[in-house]
Amino acid sequence: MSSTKAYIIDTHTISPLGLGTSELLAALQEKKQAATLIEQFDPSGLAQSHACEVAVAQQKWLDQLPTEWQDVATYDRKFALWAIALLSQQQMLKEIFANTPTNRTALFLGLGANAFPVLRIAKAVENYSAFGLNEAIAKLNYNNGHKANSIFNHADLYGAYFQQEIAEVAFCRNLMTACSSSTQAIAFGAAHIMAGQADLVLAGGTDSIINQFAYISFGKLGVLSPDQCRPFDVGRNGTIAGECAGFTLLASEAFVHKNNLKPKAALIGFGNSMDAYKITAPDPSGAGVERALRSAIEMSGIRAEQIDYINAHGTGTRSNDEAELRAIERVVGAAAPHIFVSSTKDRHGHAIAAAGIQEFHVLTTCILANLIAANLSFSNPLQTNLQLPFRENKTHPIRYALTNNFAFGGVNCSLVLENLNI
Amino acid sequence: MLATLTAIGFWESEQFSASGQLGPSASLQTNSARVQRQFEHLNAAFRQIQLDQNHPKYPKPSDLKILRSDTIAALILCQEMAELYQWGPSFTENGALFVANSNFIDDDVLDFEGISLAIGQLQNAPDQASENKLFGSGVSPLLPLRTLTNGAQSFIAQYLSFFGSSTTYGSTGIATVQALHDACNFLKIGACQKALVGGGHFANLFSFVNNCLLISDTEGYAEASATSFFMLEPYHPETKAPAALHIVEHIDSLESLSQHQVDWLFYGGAFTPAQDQELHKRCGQLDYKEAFSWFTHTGNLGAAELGMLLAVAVNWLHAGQTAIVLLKDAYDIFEIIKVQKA
Repeated sequence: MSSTKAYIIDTHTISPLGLGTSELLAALQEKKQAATLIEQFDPSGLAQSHACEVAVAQQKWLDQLPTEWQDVATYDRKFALWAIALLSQQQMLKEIFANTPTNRTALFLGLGANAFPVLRIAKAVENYSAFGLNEAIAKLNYNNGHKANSIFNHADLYGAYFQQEIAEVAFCRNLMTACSSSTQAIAFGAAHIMAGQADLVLAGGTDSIINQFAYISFGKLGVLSPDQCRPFDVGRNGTIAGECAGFTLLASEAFVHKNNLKPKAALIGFGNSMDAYKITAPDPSGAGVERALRSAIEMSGIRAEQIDYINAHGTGTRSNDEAELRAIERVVGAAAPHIFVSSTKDRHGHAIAAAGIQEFHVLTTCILANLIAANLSFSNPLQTNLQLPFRENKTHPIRYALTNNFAFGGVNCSLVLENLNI
Repeated sequence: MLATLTAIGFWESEQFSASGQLGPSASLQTNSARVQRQFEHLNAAFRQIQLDQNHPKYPKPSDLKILRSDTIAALILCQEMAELYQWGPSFTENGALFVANSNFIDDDVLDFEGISLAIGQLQNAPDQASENKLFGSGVSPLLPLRTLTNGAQSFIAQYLSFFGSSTTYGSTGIATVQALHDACNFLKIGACQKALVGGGHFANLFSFVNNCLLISDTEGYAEASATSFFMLEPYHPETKAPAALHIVEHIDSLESLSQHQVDWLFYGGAFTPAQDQELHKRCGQLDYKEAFSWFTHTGNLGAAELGMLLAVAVNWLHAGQTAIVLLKDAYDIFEIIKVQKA
């Protein structure tokens, strides 16, 4: 049976703003900004040295991991974060999946590029040839423990862990579209429910670029700010690296009725689009972003002016923010002065493939708390007739909200959420 | 789930066809001599797509820096298909694109030699700042773009002026089946009118080493670069399209094969020799004309394998015979797709 909505049963993340919804809400209300000097490696000599790192005490969670997975957690930060996100909710997850027929479940994950354990390989490989490096990566894939050593493709690691330790599901998808990965995972998970193919979908993802390999290459690409991430500010000069792992549980109408659940929010529309401009740069006109927004709103069956709050992609880079803001203006038209827009990346950093689940959690938390998260790093905001809350959070009921994520290569994804309590 | 198959195209080392008919043979091109030498003792081969740089649809020089050979092939193939089948705005504006990529490690020589050279010198770095500098010199600024996995999807969109919904799947070769499944979801809920599904595989050192370890057997094993794409539309009983796909839910044993009475079974993916024997035994019992492994014929085509198998099945459909396409992933999950008259 098809649903027109995908009901949001629960959302949970581990991020620089804390573990779980209550810590995230407190951090948002206290206007916490998580950027600090990088602790995961020594950034001496680099043009950038700050990032938003997860500060939750991790060891007590990782100690609970079966031995074969502990080794993976030591070299793959993405896996460690993913494991903590699941471990900290494992009882709830095991119960809800145990009560659902396996063939009506699915896992949709948004992931980034492989976590190359470069320095570990450097120690393991005597002959530093290109072949040696490849062989070492492949061997690591096979010698990382007992159960985990059957992982063929690194991207399958995260779903395999879920299936071995939490619950079996009908299948697992890995969507890999950089910064829009986990946003798309949520959208495609919802499509799976809307098409009547599943009753319960766990959608989310994990990513971290806070390691020598990724951080340095992103730095060389020129997208990291040397001081501070300032979304939608005239003086913006780049984004700040972040990390996050988490999931949302989406369910069909039938599932909600059968289990007598009272979900507080639902995903009612999504829109995907391609810029088809240049792989190395987003379309400066924002036409692709506009198409994603329009298609998400059209699918949700609401009018643009009904939207109360937009959690924007707002990376703080020169190229993204102006184009995104103008696209939003065109879509909402005369309703602009009534619509709040902010980016929370200056608080939690850019979690790349996990940015979608990070900001989805921020949005569901804001919806339930009637909270409009302010743009904290404003000094000179871009000109607009949209409401860009200046440094101070606002209390305002949110009936309909939208979240955006856009990726390298011009992949755009927008989600529309409905507050079911209003 | 049912969907109508309206177009198919593929390209591997020996064949190129935008119409789903097997094309004429071309010579097999292997990778560099250096790569050959490293694998001589493994008795294996690389098969690369032979690209014609004078092809009218060959990418612009400015894009070549971040294009992989299988992506170039996918680009040319999709452009040829768009022209041949006259997709036009019904695809570029109301369509969706689902791309599977079975491996994401780029050209190891270009990307990883720099890094490994840097790693080789790390022990001589006097302090952390010099180590970071050294490491930075080995990391290409293009690396995030090259490894951020959605390259093929973005280039196809750029060259076809495709504005619709699109994503990239990363897993083993079975990723194309996942793409196919989501395409059917999108068609069903009306999120798109046409769905282009396909994938590419890039034969390189990493995929080879990984796959050899997987099947623990390097005898005659080959990695083959390839790409294949096919177009789906919502299923209507009165449609005049060449074929319909019946996507059977995935299964963990071959028992349910007996529910499908067809003439042929075309299969691909990571079958060990023992599983291969079991499959042939079952097919004998089921009275299939033949169970044919594309994998044995061409080597590992990764995410391009599904499209190749579908093309073969569609060819037999033209001759009045039906087929099942069976794919097996590295985790012993089977996917069954029945190819029938629309």
